[in-house]
Amino acid sequence: MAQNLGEFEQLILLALMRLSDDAYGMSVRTEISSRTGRDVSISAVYTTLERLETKGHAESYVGEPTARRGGRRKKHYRMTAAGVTALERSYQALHEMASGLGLESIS
Amino acid sequence: MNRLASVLGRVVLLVGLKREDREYLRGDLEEELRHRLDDPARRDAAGYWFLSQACRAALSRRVARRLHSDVIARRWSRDRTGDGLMSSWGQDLRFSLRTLVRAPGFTLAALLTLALGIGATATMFTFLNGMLLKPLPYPEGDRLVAIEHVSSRGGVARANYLNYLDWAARSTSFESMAAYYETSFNLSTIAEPVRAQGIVATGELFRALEVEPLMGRGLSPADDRVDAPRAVVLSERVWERSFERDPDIIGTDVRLHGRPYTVVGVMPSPFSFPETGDIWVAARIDPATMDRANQYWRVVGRLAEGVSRATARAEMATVGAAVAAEHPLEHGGSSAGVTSLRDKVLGENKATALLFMGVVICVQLIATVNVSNLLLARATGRRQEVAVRAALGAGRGRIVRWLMTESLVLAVAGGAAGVALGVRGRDLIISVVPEEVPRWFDFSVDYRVLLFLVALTALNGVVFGLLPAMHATRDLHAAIQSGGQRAPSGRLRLRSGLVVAEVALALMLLIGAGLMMKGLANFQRIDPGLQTAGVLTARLSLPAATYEGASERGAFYRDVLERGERIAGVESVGAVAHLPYSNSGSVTLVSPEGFELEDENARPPQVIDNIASAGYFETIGIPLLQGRAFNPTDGAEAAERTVIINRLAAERFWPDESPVGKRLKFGFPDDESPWLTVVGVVDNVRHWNMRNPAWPTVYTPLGQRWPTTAHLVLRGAQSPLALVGPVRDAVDAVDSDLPLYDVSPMASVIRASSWQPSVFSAMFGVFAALALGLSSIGLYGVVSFSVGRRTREMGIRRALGALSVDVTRLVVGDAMRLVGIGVAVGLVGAVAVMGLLQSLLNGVSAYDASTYAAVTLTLAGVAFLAAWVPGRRAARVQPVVALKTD
Repeated sequence: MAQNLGEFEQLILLALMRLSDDAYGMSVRTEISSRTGRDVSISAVYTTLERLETKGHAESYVGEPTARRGGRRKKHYRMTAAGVTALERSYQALHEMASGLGLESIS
Repeated sequence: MNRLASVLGRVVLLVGLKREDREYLRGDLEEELRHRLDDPARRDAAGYWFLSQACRAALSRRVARRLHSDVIARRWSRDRTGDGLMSSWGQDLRFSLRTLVRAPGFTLAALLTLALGIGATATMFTFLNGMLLKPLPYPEGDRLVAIEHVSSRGGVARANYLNYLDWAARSTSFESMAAYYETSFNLSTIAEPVRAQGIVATGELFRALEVEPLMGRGLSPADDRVDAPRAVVLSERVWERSFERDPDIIGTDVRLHGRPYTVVGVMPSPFSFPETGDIWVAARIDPATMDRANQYWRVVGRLAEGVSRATARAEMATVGAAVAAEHPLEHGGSSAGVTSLRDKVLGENKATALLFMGVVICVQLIATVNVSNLLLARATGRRQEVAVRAALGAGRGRIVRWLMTESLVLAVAGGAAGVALGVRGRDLIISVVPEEVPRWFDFSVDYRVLLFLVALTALNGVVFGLLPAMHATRDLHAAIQSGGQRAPSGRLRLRSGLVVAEVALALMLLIGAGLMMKGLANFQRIDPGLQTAGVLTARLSLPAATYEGASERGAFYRDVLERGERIAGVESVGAVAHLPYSNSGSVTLVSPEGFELEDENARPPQVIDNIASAGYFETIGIPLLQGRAFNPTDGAEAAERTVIINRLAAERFWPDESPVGKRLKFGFPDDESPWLTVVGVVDNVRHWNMRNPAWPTVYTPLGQRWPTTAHLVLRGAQSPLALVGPVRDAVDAVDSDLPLYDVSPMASVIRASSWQPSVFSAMFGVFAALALGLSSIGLYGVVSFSVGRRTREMGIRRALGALSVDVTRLVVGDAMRLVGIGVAVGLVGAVAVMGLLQSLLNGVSAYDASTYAAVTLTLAGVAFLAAWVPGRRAARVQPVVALKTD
């Protein structure tokens, strides 16, 4: 995939990395909003996850139903090797562009 | 609230999400909802959070699904996440404004349609808002309820004072409960005496209403005792009008009905109670002197904190029944009912307002459908433009947004024009409704109206914009391939469907309007039963303090009538206790001689009990049919007590013989009351109002009884208004403390009691005409559009030998098929809902076949014209030109 990742896509992929086995729609949403303070809608998360899946950056599998979810199953997501590569490339590009500008000290 | 919001959220998810999304997404949301509900810090907002997430999911997931399958979804996704979002919105906006200005015909048509639709809706909504949504002008006014006597047959009546005391003592649902009755006062002040509406109330009243006085204090239970000084509270209006805002008014004495009362308080404007009331007087009642049978009190209560109307209703049903059971003779089988004060005041106006709101929503729907149709036609013309944009890389979302921006711009402009129109419409309607609108209701435009209109405008923009936009961008691939030439076939079907809907709605409104017009015509044919030309009426009311007995009152009436006759230009003068069509009347039982009750539970017939002077019938023009009119000798001293009855009473009591010389008495046959001899029969008058049929009536001569309140009636050769001054002078000469009120020509009295049918049918007519116009434009648009598309087909037909007549017939035939379907749907709909109008139709059946037929033909005729014009154009197509167009 020659395409670059959008910012939100990067955030989601990073969340998938952090959450590893526990990544599904709501946990991704919570992870992003607790770390970045952004109020993200669950539907935006799903839309992006699906897009990442069609691009080959992520893959999904269905988990077991739980009572807390009213007997509904979870759809888990995890990164693929291609996803890791794409994220690394995006991050690398960002890093290259930012180095020497003193931005790290601000954040 | 959490519960409600989360239930709503689940409904949204169920309806809004596709099956494949439901399980995971909803599962996630449910899980998070539980987390939040368990967390005390976030519990309160959890339901709203859930609902908002559900709404966002339902909206965006639908769009995302559709776009996902689109060939250029990825480009769209870049548009979405790109940071040029806002600047491209601005671009869309500027572009939309430019294109709209460049197509002034289209823009004007769309704006006008929208302004009319939204304007009509805005007008009706300001009324609905004032009546149903704005709070009553009392703190927590929705806790105020009316408590009424409910008879054993379920009828509602005024309450008895002693019953009220028992209700208040035994119930627990109310913070306070007060009784009152309306009356009008003669208020004598320094200047001229005035007549003011007010109430006599128990001291609890101001505790129930909870409004702070402007000065002094409200009435209190201490003012209620028989030996308490007479206390009165005035409204700011009266304080201003009659006392010029005298700052020292508290503690001064005013004369009401000739007795001194001390002013204890002034209530701030716009306070009034009931709907129109300016003077509040303490009842000062000794319960020992009250009778269990008299029912003339109204009861108002304030529900205790946290008590629902249903609870109070249940309690009062029990309490009321228990109190009634202790007094079976007076109140056997009765009970007490609870209604919100607002509903009590609105009465049947509420249903009428809702009905008109429904009508207006139909007009609004037609307008929206029309604009949608216009935009569809436009979108088709722009197929090429869309294809080029798509080919240049605009994603579907981008194109939809561009088209939506355009419709939102239209909606906002149309909505603004609509609001301006709506405010004018409201003023117009207020100006044609002569009845004094209760001061409780305020029809100003407030945040509720604005919020409603903003929502309506936005909804309009989305509804009429989204459909064409989705259609224009369907199958962009094909559009690019064909260079924008080939339009998807589904579009005409959609437009046809819209036309069918428009025709159906318009037909229903027209049928409604037709029925109302016919009802109005029926109504206007009603003979009021009297002659109004040159007749002036005025009302007066004798204070009991100065006019205690028959001799004082008799002297007053004789003197006033005599002076009235001497006024220059007056042909005749009369007086009557209850003037027809003036909301005044009294009902009693009467037993004709020889009448026997069928069983012990039966009651003698009910009649209107009126008192008339010798000159009354001649003056007001009620024809004498048999016997004689009253003459001055029918007074109290006459040996024989006489009455005159109306034709209806004569036919009912003595069907086959002349009633003159027959006798009757008031009350039951074995009552002690004296026998009265019928000396004449006069024609019927619809006493209450034009819509109610006439009642049997018994007139007693003035002289045998002297009413405390009466109407003077004078007939002159010229305009009745010329008599106003002289009549005032005549009454002044007899008693200068006595105000004349309700001074008005008889013709206006009748008009005031019967304005509703004409105003309602005029409003309905305007709305229906609007609907007919709008839907004809819609039909015309659709037919023109399809003719344009079929130019080539027409050319081929012509080339192959079709006559121009055949072509026209083809086009018109297609259009009329749509109209036919619309008419069928509309007729079914009309039959289904017209029953709602029945009460407004003055005797015309809601299923009146001739109206249905006439209206259907009219609509078909107009529709035919709307189709024929473009049909003619199609027929004029030259085969060569047509074949060249492609």
